[in-house]
Amino acid sequence: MRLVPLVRVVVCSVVLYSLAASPSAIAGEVSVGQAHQKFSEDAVSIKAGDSIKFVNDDNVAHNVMSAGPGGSKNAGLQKAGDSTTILYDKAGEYRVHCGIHPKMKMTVKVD
Amino acid sequence: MRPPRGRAALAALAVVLAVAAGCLADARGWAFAQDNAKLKEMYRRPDTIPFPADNPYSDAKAKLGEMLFFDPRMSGDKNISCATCHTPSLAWSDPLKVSIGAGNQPMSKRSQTLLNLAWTELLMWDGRFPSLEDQVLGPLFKSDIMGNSKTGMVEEINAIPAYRGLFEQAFPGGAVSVEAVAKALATYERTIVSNKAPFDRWIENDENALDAAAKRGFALFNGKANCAACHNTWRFTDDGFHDIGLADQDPGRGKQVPDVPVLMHAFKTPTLRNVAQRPPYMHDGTIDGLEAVVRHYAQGFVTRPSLSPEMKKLDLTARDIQDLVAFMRSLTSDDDPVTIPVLPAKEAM
Ligand code: HEC
Ligand code: HEC
Ligand SMILES: [Cu+2]
Repeated sequence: MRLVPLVRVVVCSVVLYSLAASPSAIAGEVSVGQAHQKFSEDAVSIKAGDSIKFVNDDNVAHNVMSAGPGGSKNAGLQKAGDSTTILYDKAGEYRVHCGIHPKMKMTVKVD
Repeated sequence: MRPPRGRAALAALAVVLAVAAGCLADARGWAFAQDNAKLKEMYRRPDTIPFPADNPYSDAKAKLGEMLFFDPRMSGDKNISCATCHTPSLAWSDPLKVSIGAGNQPMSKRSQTLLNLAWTELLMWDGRFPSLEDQVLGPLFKSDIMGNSKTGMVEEINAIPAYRGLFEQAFPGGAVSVEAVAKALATYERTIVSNKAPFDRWIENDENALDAAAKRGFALFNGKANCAACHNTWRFTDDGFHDIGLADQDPGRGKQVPDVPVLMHAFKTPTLRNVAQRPPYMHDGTIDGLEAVVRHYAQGFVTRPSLSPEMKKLDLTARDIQDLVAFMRSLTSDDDPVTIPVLPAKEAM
């Protein structure tokens, strides 16, 4: 599909925005991206029982390790384009990082 | 005939998803096809060195750390300093495949450069230390590196009156201690920064700073050779851990983090700053030159389950290989000579 660049930017922004925004419509799921070897959020606040969907919108593979109350979870290898969902059912502070790129870090606060 | 509503909704969703997929692919295409200006911006050097809040910079600390770094009396036998294996004459590394420590014992790995560590995340080839302050305690007290003991080291320093004064200046009110040694050494290490290289002058728009081969090499590095997937930012490292298919059996990061399969045989991505000054290469020192490194990436790696997904066989011409090497050579800085400090003498009783 070869659209005029400006039209393409507008169409893409609208479509991507609506998709990015849609998880909030489904109760309790927040989406976090991983482009440019960085989590798109430094910190996220959610409620117990909510989940985070980690979307690898980067061009390299990533991993997600989440440690906090109730132990740690490891999402394994996430290739470019893959996504993985982690459920947070216990309240508390979680530290999330990528095992491949430890510089990628964020915190999750679960109420 | 009208399709049932559910099917219409599904069809609409499918269209939206298809367009979205196209957009994501586009976005990725844009990322790759960023014009040179934007790409160059990603490699611009920072202006200041970051220091942690719990060990802020002071001249007194850096000066003391510099002395301790070059002082062989910090080792058990008083014959090995940090600079033995991290010599400024060889880009803060040593020329050996694996370093030789106390009692002439070979270590298991090659010495890493200390350039630009103020910006790094985890230390060591396998990332086992979280900060420079923690790392210092590794070499000092391991029997096969500097082989000292904590009490032995503190006693030795206390027997040198001028050192006691320098500790007092760097840590007012505090005595000579292992923690103070760690903080002083870490502060000095953070000041070890490579100067501007021809590459940096090119980034600052001096078109003549690089020749045509190095410029083509930069394009390959960020394009078809895919080096920038791991060697990125101004330091040319993601501070990450990858198995690049060197044939040895060392588990590397996999020993620290056993539950992520791609971390088996994975090692910390080295900075490529001043890389031409410090052969041999890799954690085991098994690759002698930069051309051989590029050949390893093109065709020479072993394929195994832990191999990084970023490692793909490359189709490089002889000129491509020369260009990549020319580019890496442009990362060598014209550093000022490093002065070795005069150390205070012990007072005989
Ligand atoms: C006998 C040789 C030797 C001596 C002495 C030595 N080192 Fe090292 N150093 C090494 C080797 C080899 C490695 C990599 C080892 C590994 O990863 O297992 C290393 C790694 C490091 C690293 C990690 C760099 C990075 O990029 O992660 C730092 C920092 C460091 N050394 C600082 C020091 C300091 C400070 C001293 C003095 C207190 C010192 N070293 C003494 C050989 C030595
Ligand atoms: C998958 C990530 C990755 C990719 C892609 C990659 N590297 Fe590396 N590079 C590393 C890691 C990790 C090491 C250290 C490996 C070891 O010692 O086990 C390394 C080591 C090196 C070294 C040796 C540096 C030293 O101090 O020993 C050079 C030079 C180098 N790479 C250049 C390149 C070039 C050129 C390319 C592209 C052709 C490239 N790399 C692609 C991750 C990568
Ligand atoms: Cu990552």
